[in-house]
Amino acid sequence: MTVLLETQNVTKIHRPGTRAEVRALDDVSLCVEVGSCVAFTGPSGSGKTTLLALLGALERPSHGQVLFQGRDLRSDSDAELTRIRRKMGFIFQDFALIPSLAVWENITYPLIPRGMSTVERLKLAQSLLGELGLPDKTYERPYELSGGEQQRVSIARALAGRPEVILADEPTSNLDDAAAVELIAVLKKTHAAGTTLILSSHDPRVLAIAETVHRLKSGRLVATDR
Amino acid sequence: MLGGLGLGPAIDLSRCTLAFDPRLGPVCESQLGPIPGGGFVCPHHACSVFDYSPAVEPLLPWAEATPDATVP
Amino acid sequence: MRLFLEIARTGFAALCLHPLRSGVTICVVMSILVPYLAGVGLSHGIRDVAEDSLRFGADLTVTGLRFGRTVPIPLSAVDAIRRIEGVTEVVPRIVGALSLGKNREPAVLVGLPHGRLPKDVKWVQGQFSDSSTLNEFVVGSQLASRLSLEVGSIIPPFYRSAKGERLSKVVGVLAPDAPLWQANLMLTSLETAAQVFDQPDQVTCLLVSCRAGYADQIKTAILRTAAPDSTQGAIRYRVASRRELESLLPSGWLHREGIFNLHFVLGFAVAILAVLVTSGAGLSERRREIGILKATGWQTDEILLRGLVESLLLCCAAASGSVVVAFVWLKWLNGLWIASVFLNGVDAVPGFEIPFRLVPVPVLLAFLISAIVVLSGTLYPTWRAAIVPPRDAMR
Repeated sequence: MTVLLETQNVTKIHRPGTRAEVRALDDVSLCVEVGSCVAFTGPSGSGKTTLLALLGALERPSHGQVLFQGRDLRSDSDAELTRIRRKMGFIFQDFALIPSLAVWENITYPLIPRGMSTVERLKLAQSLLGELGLPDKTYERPYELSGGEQQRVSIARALAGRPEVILADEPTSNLDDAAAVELIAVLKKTHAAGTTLILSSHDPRVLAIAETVHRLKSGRLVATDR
Repeated sequence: MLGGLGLGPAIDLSRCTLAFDPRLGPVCESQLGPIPGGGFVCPHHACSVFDYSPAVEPLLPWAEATPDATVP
Repeated sequence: MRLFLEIARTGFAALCLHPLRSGVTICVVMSILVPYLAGVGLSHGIRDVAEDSLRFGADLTVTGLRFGRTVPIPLSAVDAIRRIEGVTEVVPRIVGALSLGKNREPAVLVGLPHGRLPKDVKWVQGQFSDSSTLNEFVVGSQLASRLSLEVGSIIPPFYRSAKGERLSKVVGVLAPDAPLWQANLMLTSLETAAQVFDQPDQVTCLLVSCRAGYADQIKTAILRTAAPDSTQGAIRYRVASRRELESLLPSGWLHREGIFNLHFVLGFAVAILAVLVTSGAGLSERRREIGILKATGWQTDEILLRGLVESLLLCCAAASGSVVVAFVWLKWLNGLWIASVFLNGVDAVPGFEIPFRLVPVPVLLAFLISAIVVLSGTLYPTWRAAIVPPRDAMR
């Protein structure tokens, strides 16, 4: 199998050199293969979100290497990292939707710099919202939607750019049971279509869809279940 | 009609003659006193957007008559 | 190009997405630009009026000088100056300050010889009679309004004179659209003015008209003489020529001096701070938005372009709004309150039509100032948020 993402002895220290210094990740090495579904689990503060952020090129490690398709991201410029992020889709725990934008704009805003026209973007958003069961929410604002609906909008945004990998941080933590079940079904469908999934969660239903589960504790990788 | 009157940003003489028309008071009276030998900035025409410096240097007749004269 | 325009369009959309922030920023910028434009507009208007005053005024204005200060000139000086070669006309004039009424309203009393008084000038309502036994005055519009005077009003004696006091009659009121300096004016005959001030045979200035090309020569000739009948030492002359005043006018117009500029610089600094604070108030929201954009694939330069378009639109809106408000304020509100800030002696509600002219340079400058204020207040925080890792910006 081809390795899509890899970490080698990655350490992340927040606010280094201050009294508030936090070692969020400590010497973590793992790899994610193309088309796989990998999950991270562990107690709060164990470093799941930080690891996901490093894999998603949202920040740089303090020590160690993160490789995307064999390429070391350490030496890449800010613009290069952004180009790599365009191959990824993110589902954030708090949805990270822009409140002042309509639902369809939130979904397709990342596609503006990629040159997609307004008409094409609107069509794509309507198609994704139809697939995700929100066909009548196109012009609504995020704050007019329920948590589950917002999370589905967040998924639609992640899918809109046809990413090679989707990174989802605690995707069910803000959802009720029914919404969580729906979300897991969408994730399964996406994975079945060949997209690599990297998840972080406590939720056993989410962990159940993963082929590999990495367990973290205090920033260290303590176990891997396949 | 009045032989020309009103060059400055004021509408009466009570504030500052220079601010009303520098032909009437070519030097702001406030700048001559009240402290002997000292300057005094006129509070009235200083705040204007249309601010005159002394209009015409007072020229003594003998200076006009002997422009190149030197004082021994 | 299409991509550029598409990103630029998001900048415009961003302006509308944060109406409160945009509105506050525009208001802050307008609060410094409107007084600036109004002040400069007024100064241009005053300059126009001053130029008219110079154009229609005498070639030379002669005043008396004693101890370096202005003093009256004996009326007999008129004949002496009239004899100088090249002089075509010498008009004695009295310009004096007095105050009237319970509130001591300041007024400028102007006395001119009978033949020089206007019989039928379009901006005077009413006219002088040749045979009245009363003191006759034409009064300025603001003064008339302050003292509740109208044509036909009788004013009880308001002066002391060795020859005794007389009743005065208002025979005319200057129209409000006449030049601003008429506002507190009282126009009368030379004799009446001399009586009011109790200065017989004295005038404050002489208006000298010359043949073309003789002005400098006549000025020199006047400066070499002294008032002929001075019994208490000589009264020297001071002569202001039209050319000297013409050269003085631009420097008077350049609003570089005084506290106006100081106030403006202070206002400018406060505006930048205010816009920074405004931006700071929405900074966490802006930072998070930028973090989301970066996380989802927007490049830093694309975010900056979006911010630049947003800022430029804000600055254009603020500057255009300022020009419109300044024009409305000066034209239709007649400089309500603001004219009294920039013009001495003017009421909060001016009793006459204030002069103003909005010219291109200050307007362009307003756009530049607006751009500096807005760009420093909004684009800088955008840049700060755009250069940090997306995860930090989203926190």
